[in-house]
Amino acid sequence: MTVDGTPRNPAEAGALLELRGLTATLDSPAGTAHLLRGVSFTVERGKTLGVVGESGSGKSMMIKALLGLTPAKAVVGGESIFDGVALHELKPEARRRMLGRRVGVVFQDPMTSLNPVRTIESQMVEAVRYHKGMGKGDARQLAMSLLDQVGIPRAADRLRDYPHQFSGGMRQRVMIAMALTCSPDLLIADEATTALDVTIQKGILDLLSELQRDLGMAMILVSHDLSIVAGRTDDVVVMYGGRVVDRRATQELFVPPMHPYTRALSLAIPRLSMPSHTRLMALTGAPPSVYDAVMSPEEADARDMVRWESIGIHNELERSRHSTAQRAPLTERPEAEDERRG
Amino acid sequence: MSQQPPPTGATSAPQDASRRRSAFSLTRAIQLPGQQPRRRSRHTGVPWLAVIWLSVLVLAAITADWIPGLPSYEEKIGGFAQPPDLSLGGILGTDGVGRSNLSRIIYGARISLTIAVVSTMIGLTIGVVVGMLGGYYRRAAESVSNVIANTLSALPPLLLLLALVSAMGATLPTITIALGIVISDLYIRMTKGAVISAISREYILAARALGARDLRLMVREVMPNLIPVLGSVVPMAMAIMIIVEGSLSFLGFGIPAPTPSWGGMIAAGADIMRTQPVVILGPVITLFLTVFSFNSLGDYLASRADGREGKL
Repeated sequence: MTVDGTPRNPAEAGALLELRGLTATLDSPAGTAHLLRGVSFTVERGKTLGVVGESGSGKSMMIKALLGLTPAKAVVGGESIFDGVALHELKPEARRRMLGRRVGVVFQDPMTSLNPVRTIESQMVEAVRYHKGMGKGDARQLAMSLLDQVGIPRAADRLRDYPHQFSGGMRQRVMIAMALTCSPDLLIADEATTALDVTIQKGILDLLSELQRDLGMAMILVSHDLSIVAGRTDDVVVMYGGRVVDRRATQELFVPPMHPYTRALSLAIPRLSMPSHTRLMALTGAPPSVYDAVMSPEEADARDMVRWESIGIHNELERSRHSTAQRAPLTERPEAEDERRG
Repeated sequence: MSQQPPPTGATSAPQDASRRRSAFSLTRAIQLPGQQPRRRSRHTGVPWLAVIWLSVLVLAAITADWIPGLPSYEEKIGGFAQPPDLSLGGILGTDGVGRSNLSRIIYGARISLTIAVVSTMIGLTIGVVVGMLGGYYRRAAESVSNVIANTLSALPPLLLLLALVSAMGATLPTITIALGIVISDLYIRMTKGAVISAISREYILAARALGARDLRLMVREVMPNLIPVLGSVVPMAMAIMIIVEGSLSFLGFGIPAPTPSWGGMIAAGADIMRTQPVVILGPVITLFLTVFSFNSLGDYLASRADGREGKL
């Protein structure tokens, strides 16, 4: 079901978005920065994909490259196909126009995601009118119902408020409502809960899951926190140094053998079962530089071995690589095939 | 049974007495249970005297032709530098040729305010367009806007104005346009800075993700953010315009006689100010109060903008 009540076609199934070898480079006085080094994954209709990785791993850049929001000087390569349309063949502006009507985005910082000098009504009504071509009155009604849908109390009154009159969590709810104005096929939450405290985080994540389920959207949940995506996604992609180092179904995420970096992330999650004063494992050193030369995944893995060894992970790499190579792509998982047939 | 906190706003007499006793003590800063927190305004109060003065001035300038008992600015109502009397026209005395000082101040306000408002609009238009393009597109556009702003600020403003007025004649449009061009470098720099700051915010990225084009982003997303920044500068710039126009008139390059202007009145009265100070007292005080009022208004708007930014 879409936000305006139109049922989605249940017959539609399969890949909604497919990235194949997405790259992004930026020339700077310090040299060529390789921001993305060949990112590939698939998002299926109605499913949730988690994208995890530490700061600087390329998560947000991947979203920007997908949406055509990279800096003008950045060179984006690879293929991105959305609902059968080859986005990489479109100019950035045409790509934004096309995606703006079908993809909703919730950005990280709710404090700066809304224009501080415009009322919520002005911002939402404009978005609704832009996407739906509605009259002002109808657009206001829809904006009000969207605010109501995302749990903003007294929506009619709050429409006249400015962003600074909302708390961080409420602003993020407003952002989600704005992202829903286009009845998106795909909702991207780019670190949507990072700037919020833990209790508010849960509320926002629950809301996103609920909306995703009710509206039948696909969703990309980007986070640096593996525990956030672990319980709320169907598939997970792990990014490191601008590339995808691991991708698997969420239910298999912690099933060995896993990529050393995924293992390192899992070791950094605090658990209640741990004895008190347990030190979490932390990788030493720094992530690879964006200025490092282009290298094959094998060469990159060999380079990164030093970091994995710092927390005692040293014998899984080969098994992991073997396993990843043997693993069928996510779209061709047997269970996915079964679901499609079903 | 749990104790209920006292209802807000309904304080008992002993509480009031206690609050009065501690009014000047250090404990005043401590918030008592049930007491409403003191709301301290981050900005200064509205400068009502400035608002009233400017309102009166604008109203008088607009309705000058219909004020009963007010003579025309060209009409001789008495002798040379006559002291003030109780008639409306003579309340501020007469000038060197026997014309009403009050009338010339009020009609002079038309010229001064027109120049201040129109030249500010011209400067603002140039500044916003050039600064917006430079700040939004950066690279070559920014270089061009920098060159324009640097060129304008490198030229001595008064000399530039004198040259323009000498070449094109001291007419109202010439002076207004020249002043607008001279002040525009200020607006170019301020606009560019504000635009660069605004476009790095995520709401611009969010609007672009929704499919908004450049023009729409500039007008709908970035432009409203310029209002707090420029709104506080505009009144102060208007004050500068009034002073510069007065300086031009004082130097003999302003609006030619008999059209009155405050600077021209001060220049004309300068020769006789030792013997008849009242001749220049009226225009000097009017100029001072108007400039002071514009600056106060600018300060108030700047403090409002600061308060608003602080909440972001």
